[in-house]
Amino acid sequence: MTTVEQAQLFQTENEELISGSEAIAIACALADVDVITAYPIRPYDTVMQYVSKLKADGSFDCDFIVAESEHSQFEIVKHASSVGARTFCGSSGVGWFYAFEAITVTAGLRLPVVAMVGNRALDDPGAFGVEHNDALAVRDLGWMLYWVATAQEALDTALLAWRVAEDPRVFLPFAVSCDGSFLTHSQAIVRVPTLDKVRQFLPNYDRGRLQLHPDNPITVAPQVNEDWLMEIRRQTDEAMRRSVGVIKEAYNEFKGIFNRGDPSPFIEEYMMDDAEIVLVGMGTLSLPVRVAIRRMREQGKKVGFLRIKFFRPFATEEVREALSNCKAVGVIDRDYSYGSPSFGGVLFNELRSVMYPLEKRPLILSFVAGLGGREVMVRDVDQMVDIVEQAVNTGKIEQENTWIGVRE
Amino acid sequence: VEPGEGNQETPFSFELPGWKSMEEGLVIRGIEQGGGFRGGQGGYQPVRSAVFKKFSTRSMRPVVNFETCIKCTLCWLQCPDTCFDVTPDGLYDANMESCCGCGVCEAVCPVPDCITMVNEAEFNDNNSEWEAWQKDKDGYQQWMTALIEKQKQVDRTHGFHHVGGYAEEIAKVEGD
Repeated sequence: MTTVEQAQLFQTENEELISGSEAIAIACALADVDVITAYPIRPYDTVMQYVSKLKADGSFDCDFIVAESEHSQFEIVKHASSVGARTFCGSSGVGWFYAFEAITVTAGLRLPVVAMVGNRALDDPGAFGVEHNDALAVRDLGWMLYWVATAQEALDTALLAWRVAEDPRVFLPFAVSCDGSFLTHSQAIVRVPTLDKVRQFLPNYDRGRLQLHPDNPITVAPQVNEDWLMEIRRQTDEAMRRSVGVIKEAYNEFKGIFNRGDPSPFIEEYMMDDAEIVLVGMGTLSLPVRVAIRRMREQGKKVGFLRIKFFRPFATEEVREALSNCKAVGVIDRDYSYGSPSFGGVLFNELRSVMYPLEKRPLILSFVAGLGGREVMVRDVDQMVDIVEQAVNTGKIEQENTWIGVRE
Repeated sequence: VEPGEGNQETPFSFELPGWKSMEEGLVIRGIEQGGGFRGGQGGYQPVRSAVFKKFSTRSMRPVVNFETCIKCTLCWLQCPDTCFDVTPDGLYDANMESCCGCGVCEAVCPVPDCITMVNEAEFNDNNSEWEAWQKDKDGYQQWMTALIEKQKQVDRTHGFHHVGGYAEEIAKVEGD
């Protein structure tokens, strides 16, 4: 429900110095979210702080429920979403894992919950810093999964998330992944759009014939067993396939209304024209990588950067096309996948699988970097490019996976 | 038993929809209100789910003696699957499309041998017992009596045959 103060608050477009978490809280107010659940865990908890502040200030009216655990937190939004409420929640690290039963059924039930994952290292050992393994755990379950790089992108992506998730052709949950500290706690200038523009972009959530309501008597989530389950999985698979088109459509409309955005909703290309060596990564590590690449370009090196924004659905064709002309690719993973093929990171193995059908394949190397919130420095990027360059010069890969910035 | 010597019976098969025609969102539609009796001859047959049938796992089914029924409504009232159709003459006909064979009707029936749970293997179809009785009352009585006698020789797998059966069983065990 829009309060008088809220209507006054977002009448003009303003530039504000805010953190990524605050940007997402403001997106909740702009999207007029009905039910928000919370349970504190760093670094996600900054969002619940900003939401409760907006509510206390009278700038935003919603049902704000602080649950007794992450499991209940995600269960509550799941149920609220089934009766037709626009929902938001989020968590970090092992908190996200504690909610996993609710998280997986949310996708199974085709409920468009939007969640913010403040990426944090999984316990043990306890650490507050960023690693992508927490959010990546939902990659196979029917959640759309997006990594943002800036506070502005966090706000914009949250709006896009409700728009795509609540589209009846999709009806799938959407996780907005934000690197802990680097994004959740760092302030940057953000253009906060007007309520009018947001309403133009984001229609009301209408669950239609699937809405749980006394006037629409339905049973949701029966036991089905082997006679039905495979068909239901295939339906979810089809919804994820359809989401690709819906994302493109929504993103184009977004650019038209808000006058900002990249050419593609799925990937961001940086100095990719004529690049012979391309680094690939997700999230905020793109900032030091960009600085390093700019410096290398000044020295005449043909280096570029490809940032993966949507991890699910993965933009297979676009990534193939973007990487089809380079000689070698270095994939930077802010995650680990113990015992995986080539002992590489999660993104590395996805990338290698995407590139396999190409006749002319670039060399692909894996880097694990920045775990537990360790900074990825410009010199780390230099080291990665050196290793890739050596592979290009010799024509073969000595070592498929290298941990960067680890003490030996 | 050698290959080929086993039960030649063809098990029930069902038409199952594909993913394109199934409703999305793990939803089963509620049953609409209203209904009437088959062929519009009075009585009452509730509308039932066209897709959600319960009989595929049934191991026993109720056989009704329409001659001794006192129309007390208990079976119709207590059936957890609302499977009893009210016939135009006010009797209760267990609809075999929706009966899961739980035996509650037999347990609540106050008349001895009015409702008897019989092994499902004795049947090949889901046809109406009341319609069979209407067509040939004597034939039905003979068929039913034979079934009940046969069933009495078998150890019961579940449920109690009449109201008070539970107390009798307890007394028997305690007496031992």
